[in-house]
Amino acid sequence: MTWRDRIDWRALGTTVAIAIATLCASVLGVYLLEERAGVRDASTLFLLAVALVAYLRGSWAAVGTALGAFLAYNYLFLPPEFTFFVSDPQHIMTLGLLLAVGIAIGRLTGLQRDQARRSERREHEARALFNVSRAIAYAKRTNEALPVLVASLAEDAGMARVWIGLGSTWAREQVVATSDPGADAPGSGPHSILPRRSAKGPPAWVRLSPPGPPASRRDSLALYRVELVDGAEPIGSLWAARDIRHGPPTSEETRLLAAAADQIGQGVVRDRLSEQATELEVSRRSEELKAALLDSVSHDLRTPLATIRASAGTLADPNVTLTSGQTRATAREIDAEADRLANLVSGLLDMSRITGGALQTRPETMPVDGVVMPAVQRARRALGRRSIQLEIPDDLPAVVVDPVLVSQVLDNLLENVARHTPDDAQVRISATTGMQAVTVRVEDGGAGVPPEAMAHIFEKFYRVPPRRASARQGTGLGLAVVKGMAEAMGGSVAATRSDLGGLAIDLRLPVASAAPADEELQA
Amino acid sequence: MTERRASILLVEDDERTRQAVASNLEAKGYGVRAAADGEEALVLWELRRPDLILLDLGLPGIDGIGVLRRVRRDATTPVIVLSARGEERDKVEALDEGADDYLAKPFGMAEMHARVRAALRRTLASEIDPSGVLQIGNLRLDPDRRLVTVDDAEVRLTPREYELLKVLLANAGRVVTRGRLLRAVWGTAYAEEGHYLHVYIGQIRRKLAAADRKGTLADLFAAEPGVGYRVRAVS
Repeated sequence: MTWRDRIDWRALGTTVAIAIATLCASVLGVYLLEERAGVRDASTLFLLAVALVAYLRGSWAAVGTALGAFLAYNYLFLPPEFTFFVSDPQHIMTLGLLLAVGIAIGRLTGLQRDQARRSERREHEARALFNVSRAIAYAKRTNEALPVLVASLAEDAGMARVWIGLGSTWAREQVVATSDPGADAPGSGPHSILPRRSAKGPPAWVRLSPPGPPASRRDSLALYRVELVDGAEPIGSLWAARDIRHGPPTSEETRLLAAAADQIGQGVVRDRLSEQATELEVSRRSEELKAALLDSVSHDLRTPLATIRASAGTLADPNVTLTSGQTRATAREIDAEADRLANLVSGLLDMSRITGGALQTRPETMPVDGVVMPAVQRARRALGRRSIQLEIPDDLPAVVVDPVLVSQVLDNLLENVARHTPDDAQVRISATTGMQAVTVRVEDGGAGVPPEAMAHIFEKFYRVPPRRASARQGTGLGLAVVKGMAEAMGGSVAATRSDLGGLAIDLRLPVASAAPADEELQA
Repeated sequence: MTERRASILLVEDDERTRQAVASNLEAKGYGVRAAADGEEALVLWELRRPDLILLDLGLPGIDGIGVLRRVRRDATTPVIVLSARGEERDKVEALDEGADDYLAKPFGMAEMHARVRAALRRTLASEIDPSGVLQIGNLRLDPDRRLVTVDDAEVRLTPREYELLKVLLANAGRVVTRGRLLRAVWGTAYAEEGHYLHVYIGQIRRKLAAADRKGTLADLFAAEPGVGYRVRAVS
C-alpha cells in the first residue's frame, strides 16, 4: 500500500500501539539495568525494540520507534533528567549513535521484511494467475471453468465476492458465474473500473458514478469492475466486491484481477469462435445429408408413381382394348405400387417423427410373448411357406416397452425377413435374458448380408446391393426405423450373422425393475 | 349378401376418396349415401337411418367424434372409423365412444369389404342364440354354466380370465379397447393398468392352445397395438 492511498487507521493504530508498548518495555529495562544493576549505559536495549518493531511493522514504524527511543532516553535517563537538554558531550554522542544506529537497523530490518512480504505476495500472485490460466486451458469450454475460477479469485484477490457478467454493455450483463450464488449481483451503482480496452501502462482504477439511484449509504461493499474485451469490443466484466474497510485492491491484487479478466475474455472469445465453427460444420453436413436424402426419396417416390400413371393411362385410353384379365392385372399393379408408396410414406413419417424428436413413448410392462406372438401372427401371411421356429422361454422377465412402437419394430423386422429371403427359408425368433434386458433375436436362413454391408444396414436409405438385378428393393427405411424406435424405448439393435446362414438382428428391450406386483396372477 | 340391400352412410371430406369408395361399395351391391362433412352426415343419418356408417375422423365443422356421439345417442348402428396413421389417440377415443372398428388409411378395398361384412353380420345376428352361448369355431363359452370348452373338453380359466374371454367373444370381430376391457373385467380403478391385459391374454392363449389339438385357435386373439384386442372370426 502506498502513502497516497487512503490511510488505514486501524493498521496505523496497531503500529503505534506496538511501538509504544516496546518503548515502554525498553524504558523499564533500561531503568532496571542503569538504576538498579548499575550498568552505565543500557541505551542499546532500545535498539532491540527498534529491531522488533521493524520486524513486525516495517521500516517506517522502526524509524518512528528509533526517534521515540532517542527522545525517551534523552528525557528520562540523561542528566539533567526530565529535560531534553543534554549536558555531557559524552552523552550527546551516545544519543546520536542511538538515533543513527536505530534508524539504520530499523530501515534495514524493515526493508528486508518488506522485500520478503513482496516476494511472498508475488509468489501468491503468480500461483493465483497460474490457477486461472490452468483452469481456462483445461476446460473444454471456458464456461465450465468459471465457477471454480471466481471462487479461487475471490480468495486470492481478497474479495468478498467475485462474479462474471457477459454482455455488450455492463448494464445488460448476464451473470454467468459467481463465487457466492446466494447473494444477488448489485446492479448499477458507483464502482471503480479497470479499463482493459487501452491497457497501456500499469493498470489503474477509475472511479465511476453512473447516473441513477445512488448506492445506499449503509452499503459496506466497494465494487470493482474489470472489463472483459474482445480486441476493442467490451464483452462483459469481471466484478469483485470487498468490504470498504479493507481498502482498495493492492497492486498485486489489481494485476491478478486484470490478468484473470484478460484470460477469461480470451477464453470466452475462443468459445464463441469454436461454437460458430461447429454450427457451420453441422449445418454444412446436414445440408449434404438432406440433399442425399432428397435424391433418394424423390427417386423412390417417382418410380411407383410412374408405374401408377402408366397403368392408369392404359386403363383410361379409349384406343386400348384390354381383356378383363388384363384390366385386372393392370389394376392390381396400380394397387401394388400404391401400397409400396404408402409404405414409403409411412416410413418417412416414422423417420421424421424419430429424427424430429416427436416420438412420444408410452412405456408399458408387457410379457415377452405378448410382444412377439401378435407380431408373428400379423406376419404369418407375408412369411408364407417359411418355417417359423419360436424359442420364447416362459420364465423371461417382463419388458417395459411402448406397445405401438415395439409392434412396429417387430413388424419391420419380420417384413424384412419376408422380403429378403427365399420362400422356403427358415426363420427363428428367440428370446434370452441378461444384463437388465431381454434380447429378442430375429434370424433367417437366407443369403444374409455381406460383411462390408453389415455396418450400414441401420442407416437411412441404405440398401444392401442386390445379388440379382431384378430383386425387389425395400424402402431402405425399415431398419433405420427399427433402430430409431428401439432406441426411443431405451433399447438397442445390433446385426450379426445367424448360424442359420442369414442375418440375425438382436433387439434388446429393457426389463421391468421388478415383477408386476399383482397378487391376482397367482389366483 | 342378404335379401335386403344394406345401406351404408359414407362420411369423408376428400372428394376423390369419397367417390372411389362409394362407387366400389355400390358395385358390391350396397346402397350408398355419401356426406362430405359432419352436418351433412347428421342430416342423412336422421333421414335414412343407414345400416352402417363409414366415418372419417378428420372432418370440417362437426368432426368425426361429434358425429359418432350424436349417432350413439340414438342407435347402436355399426360405425367403422377411418383414420390416418399416427392418430392412435383419436382412434382409441372413437372406439371408446362406441365405434365398432377402424380402418387405417390408406386401406385396400378387400380389407374394407371384410370389415364391412363383419360389422353387418354382427348386427343381423345380434339376437343370436337365446341361451347366450358364445361360440367361435371349436371354442364355446356357456355363460349359464360358466363353462369354456374347446372341442367339448373343458378349459379351466380363473374368474378374471373367464370374464375377459367373455367380453372379447361377445364382441367378436370388433376391436375392444383396453380401457373397456379393464373397466369391464377389473373395474374403473384399473383402467390404466394395461399390462394386466397382456399377461392375462397370454395366459388364456396358452390354456386354449393346450386344449386345441388342431391349432385352429392359434390366431384367435389379435393385439391391436396401443388400442386393444380383437377376437378374430375363426374359419
